[in-house]
Amino acid sequence: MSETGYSLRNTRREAASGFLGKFGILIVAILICIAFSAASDKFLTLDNMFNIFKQISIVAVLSIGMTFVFLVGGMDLSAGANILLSAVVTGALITSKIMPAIPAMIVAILCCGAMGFINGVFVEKFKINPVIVTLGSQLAIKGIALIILRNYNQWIWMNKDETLKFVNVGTIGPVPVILVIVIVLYIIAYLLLIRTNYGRQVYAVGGNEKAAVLCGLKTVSVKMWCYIICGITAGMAGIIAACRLGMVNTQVGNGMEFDAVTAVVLGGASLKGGEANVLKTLVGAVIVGLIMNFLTLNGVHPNFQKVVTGGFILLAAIINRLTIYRKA
Amino acid sequence: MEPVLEMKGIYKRFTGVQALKDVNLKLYAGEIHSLIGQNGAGKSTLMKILSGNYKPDQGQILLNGKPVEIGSTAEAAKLGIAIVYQELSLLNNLSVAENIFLGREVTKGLSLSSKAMRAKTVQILTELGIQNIDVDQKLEVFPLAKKQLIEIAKAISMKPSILILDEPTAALTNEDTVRLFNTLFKLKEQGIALVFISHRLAEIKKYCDRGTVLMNGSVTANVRMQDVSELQIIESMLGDTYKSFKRSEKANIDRSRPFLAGKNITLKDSLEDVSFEIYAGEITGFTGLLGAGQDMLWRIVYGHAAANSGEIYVKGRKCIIDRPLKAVQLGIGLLTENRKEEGLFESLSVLDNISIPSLKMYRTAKAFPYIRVKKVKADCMQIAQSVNIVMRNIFTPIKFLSGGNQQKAILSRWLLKSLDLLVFIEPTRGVDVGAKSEIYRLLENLAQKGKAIVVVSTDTTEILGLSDRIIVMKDGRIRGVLDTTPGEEELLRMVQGKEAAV
Repeated sequence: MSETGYSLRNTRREAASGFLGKFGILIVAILICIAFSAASDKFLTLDNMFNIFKQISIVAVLSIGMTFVFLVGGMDLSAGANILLSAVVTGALITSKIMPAIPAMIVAILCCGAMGFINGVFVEKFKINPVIVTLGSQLAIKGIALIILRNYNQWIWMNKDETLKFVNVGTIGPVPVILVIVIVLYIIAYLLLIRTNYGRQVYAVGGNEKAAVLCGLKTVSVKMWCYIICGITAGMAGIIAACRLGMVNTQVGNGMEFDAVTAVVLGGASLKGGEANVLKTLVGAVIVGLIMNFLTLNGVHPNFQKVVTGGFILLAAIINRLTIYRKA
Repeated sequence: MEPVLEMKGIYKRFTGVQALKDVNLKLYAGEIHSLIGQNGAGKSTLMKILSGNYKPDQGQILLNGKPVEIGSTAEAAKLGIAIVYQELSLLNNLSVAENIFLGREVTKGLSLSSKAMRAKTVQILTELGIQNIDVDQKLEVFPLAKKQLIEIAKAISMKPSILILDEPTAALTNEDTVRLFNTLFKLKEQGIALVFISHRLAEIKKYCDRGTVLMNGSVTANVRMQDVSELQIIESMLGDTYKSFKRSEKANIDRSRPFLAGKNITLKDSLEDVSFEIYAGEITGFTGLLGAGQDMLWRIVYGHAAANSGEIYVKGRKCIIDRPLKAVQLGIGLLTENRKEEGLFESLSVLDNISIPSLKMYRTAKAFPYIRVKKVKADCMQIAQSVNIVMRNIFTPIKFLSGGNQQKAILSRWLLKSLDLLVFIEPTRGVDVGAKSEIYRLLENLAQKGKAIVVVSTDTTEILGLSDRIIVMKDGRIRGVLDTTPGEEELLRMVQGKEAAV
């Protein structure tokens, strides 16, 4: 008796799951674009498209780190608070003239990376549920940021800084700087996940931790780095927020971790870990942006917009379940 | 006498493996019927069909002469078929009574009637002759043997006409086994048909009325226990299969310097003072009954479990291996029997599955993590071809491969890393016959190339066909080291724990 060959049924199943898995979310995004442009002629213009990208830039960058955390089956609810911390630290350092904009940004990013490290230690070294850990750190981080902010009477204005202004309104050719930043960060994240030792280990550890341990991988450090990366991207998102707004107040970053979760789940990430793709996360973030933009263009009240986004998280979860968990 | 239950012409196929082929089984009321066979012979699959976990591809099930369809475990329970699995399904944080009535709580109006449940539990336990169990105690305080009895009581409380017991004695001492059978005899008297699965032939011969012997998914014998000897059972269990693989030639092995030596490895309640040596170029077989300690021993050596005491020497140097990473760095690789849970990265490609532990070697520069993807792919392709993995291409997710090909892929993982010692726990579990001999041939080649190979298996046929040297374990101790190939019966007797017939 010989080993049965690679069966035709398997090939078809594989091809089907491959196609839907790869392009399903992109098709959804394109369909939404077609529908919206039919409904509103203001929608499908280059200006509006750039506008959408600027609007989603903060969430999009945050979603990169959230993807890493999701890949190892985790969760980071402190990401929104990290945005606030990063924006406050940047603003405080610049307005107090302690250092110029670029070093201030680096310090802010490092602060958030450190917060990610602390999350990682609690989740992976002490083995505490990530939702509980990051719920706690969310409060703590927000508290720290608000203490600093109070010394500045709850508002820090930094709209005079040239570097920040350039990031917000500058263009490279016709393309806004923010868009370039977002795209570059996504390319780096994609290459990190697909083309490096560390990236492949993230998928392995997230997919099957027991097997990863038996393979001799350093699973704890791989997972801890995911939390650090999430902290770092939240820090970057915070800086983009500071640039876009030209100021920081208590509301910056509030609840943004949920927008990032929506983008990641829409992008087809498995909540159990091991399955996610940053490029699909980007499409997920764009879809969220498209819908918010359409609602804004049509003058829908922000409260209703919240209802719609909430509905979208649920819808995304269902789509996710239908496409990911439908296994042989 | 009419059988209570009859399974007729049952076929079941899994990806790449014909698990059952035209299997017939008859169960009679008031009898203990044993299912006998090696690991992978199809016993569990057959019972999972009976309990509604699997659907047969073909075949009929007759209950009291009437054909029935068993679509789920709930349906099986309704038809009076209860099963007690090897892994207990009880909840440690609930009391005995709560466990027994879990999901079918007796209620009085809206509230639970714990009094009634308690009384009923006591009644069931007394009927079964089980003593000294406080039904209010949480389950965690009971030893395994008691839990086993409670699990049986739970199954009995549903008043089944057929009760299946999957290796209930695997973890029990002799005394506890006797007690268990006393309970089973009480059930027999009540006219329940019992199915008993075990690896221990002595028990089967002593306590069971009839037996059905399975080999590679087919029935090879239907016996009445009083009419046959243990030897005859063994013969029908093994058939001619053990002739199917023989080493082409056994190498001359230099036994002056062991690659790895374990000294006095002890783990409370499972290993006692185990010492052994492993040599390059040799296939060493570790065998014993399930739970005799051979697999635990290798998990300890690999750093996946911790021992209470003992030392490990690699190439003469004392090493502390406290996690698998260290073992891999020392040149040791291990493949477990749980391919799905402990081996595969199911959602990843064959390429990833082979290359993940080795990717570090392919970095473009030490400080720069970017990987030379083409080189990785070329190397993996070469190894995949050399072990003959059947797949569409190397980017195919590994979950679409058959069991044998998955096993070859995980093996390739360690080949790419070019380790010195490869440990295989149950290397051919869930692998069909054709792929089996292919894997045996691979192991032989690896040994000839100078690798040290360890095969840990409860399948004595496999151990006999493959090994240069066999180490037999029993109750956590090494019972014997056989340098020359013994006869099948002699080995089986040693494994079963009787004196070797010389």
